[in-house]
Amino acid sequence: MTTTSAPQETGAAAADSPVLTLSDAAAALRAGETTSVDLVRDAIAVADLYDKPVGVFIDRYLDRAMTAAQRADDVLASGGPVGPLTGIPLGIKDIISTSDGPTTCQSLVHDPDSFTTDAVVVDRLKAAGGIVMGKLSTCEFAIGAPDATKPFPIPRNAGSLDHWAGGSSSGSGSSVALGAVYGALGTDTGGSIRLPSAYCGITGLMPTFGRVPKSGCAPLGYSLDHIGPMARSAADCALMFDVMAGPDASDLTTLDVPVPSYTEALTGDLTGVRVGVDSLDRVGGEYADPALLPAFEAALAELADRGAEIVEIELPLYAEMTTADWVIMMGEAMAYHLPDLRTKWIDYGAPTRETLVTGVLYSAADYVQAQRARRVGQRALAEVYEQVDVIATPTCATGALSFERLDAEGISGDFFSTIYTGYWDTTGNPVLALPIGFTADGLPLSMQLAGRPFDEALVLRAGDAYQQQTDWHLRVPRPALEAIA
Amino acid sequence: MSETTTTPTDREIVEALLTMHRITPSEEEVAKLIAAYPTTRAGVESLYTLEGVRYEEPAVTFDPRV
Repeated sequence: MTTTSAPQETGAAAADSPVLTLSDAAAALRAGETTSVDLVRDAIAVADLYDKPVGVFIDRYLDRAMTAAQRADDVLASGGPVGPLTGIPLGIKDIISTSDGPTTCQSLVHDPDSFTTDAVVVDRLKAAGGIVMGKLSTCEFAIGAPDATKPFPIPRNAGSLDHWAGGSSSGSGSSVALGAVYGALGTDTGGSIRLPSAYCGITGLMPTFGRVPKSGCAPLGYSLDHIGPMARSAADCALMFDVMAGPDASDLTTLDVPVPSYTEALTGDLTGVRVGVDSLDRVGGEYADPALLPAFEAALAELADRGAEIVEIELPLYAEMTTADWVIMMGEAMAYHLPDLRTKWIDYGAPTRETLVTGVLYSAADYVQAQRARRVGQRALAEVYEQVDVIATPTCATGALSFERLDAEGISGDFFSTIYTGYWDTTGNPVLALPIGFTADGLPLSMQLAGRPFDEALVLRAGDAYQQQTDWHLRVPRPALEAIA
Repeated sequence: MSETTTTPTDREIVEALLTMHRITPSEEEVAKLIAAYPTTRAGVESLYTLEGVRYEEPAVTFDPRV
């Protein structure tokens, strides 16, 4: 069982408790080295300590979680068959419906009673034995930025309370970083799994579009939304993804493509795997943290050490695919939100409504044209994948954004030049974001590994191979107790 | 009789779009939208001139089965 103390040298102060990955916890449960009640009790203790200052949970289900843990321990003790996630504490982004409590979308606009049953993907996690600890903070309706004037948590970075956890799956990132859950569900329409994963120093998988049913999730961009796992490691994500992937009749965008065992794909060997590399320095280079490129190059060297062949490439139509992501997202979001924007304008948080309203600037023809451009981008990218098997880029140019800058500049303009995520929502390929080091200030840095459509197995294998050689994913900073006092 | 035509300003366009959508932001929020308008349109226009897009189908599908 791998345990390690959180880093002392990162600049971010660390708490004393050991780091346990989801995979470690699952193995320990099976070996009888711990119990689900202990895991849930520890997770509750961590959340008691950090939830309020870090802004992690919208709601917590303590009694239900403890009851489920006792039940899980009974099943484990019986020696009978158990699910792969039996007894594991998990968290759910609060735009995904659960039967455990209301879904708020972190909004005064959303009717919390409109979602009352488990989303398909939540049902799958529970069927595998997972325990839902609560609903996690998000940007309102998965878009925008925190608004301190609304009665919801401000999602702070676990490593530095002056910095944002990233969005929109903010609480999913910080809860995993803190150890308040072992895995979480996030959603990604322009980067909302990968950005908080990067900012919080954890690992997150945006699956192929159509791989995981979205039913039971509040939409942002119908043709762009993805639900994916966020956890400490690629192996953790694989464990969750084993039970999440696969079509469902409730979501017509899901595709009946064979689902392999993702955990069995984690061989640690990258012999013969061609990794295309684009640093995207031409996009965000002027903003890039000085530590980014050295960390990225070191990460590529680790992949090569595992047998990968590194090949320089350039992502085709980068600007156009990033633009298409935004045009499509805003068009689809405007269709969903227009009635409420008319009648409940001030009930939306300011960053949310100011982002959503940009949808009026696009015509129906613009929307269709963006969907046509998307096809061109898909084809151009497919040609690149004839030469490589995985594409590596940084996830973003910097460490987590400070609240000072977020409050001053919002999430427009320069910010979008620092994140390299939206391209992949347009193309729909699976992408794993994983930590590769820290800035001089102790903020996590991250890279993306993107595969061909429905080849999550390879990106998880590549990420796991990297993490078998490195321990950045275990060096998750946590706030010092004096910082939250 | 000749008609005089003038090119509408960004403000006029944005205010017309907001009126059409029946959305009423504050003056400060409208100003932000007006400021964003030129860059936004330039980005969209680039999608119309993309090489290879002329005869491409949109990436949306419709299944006639309910």
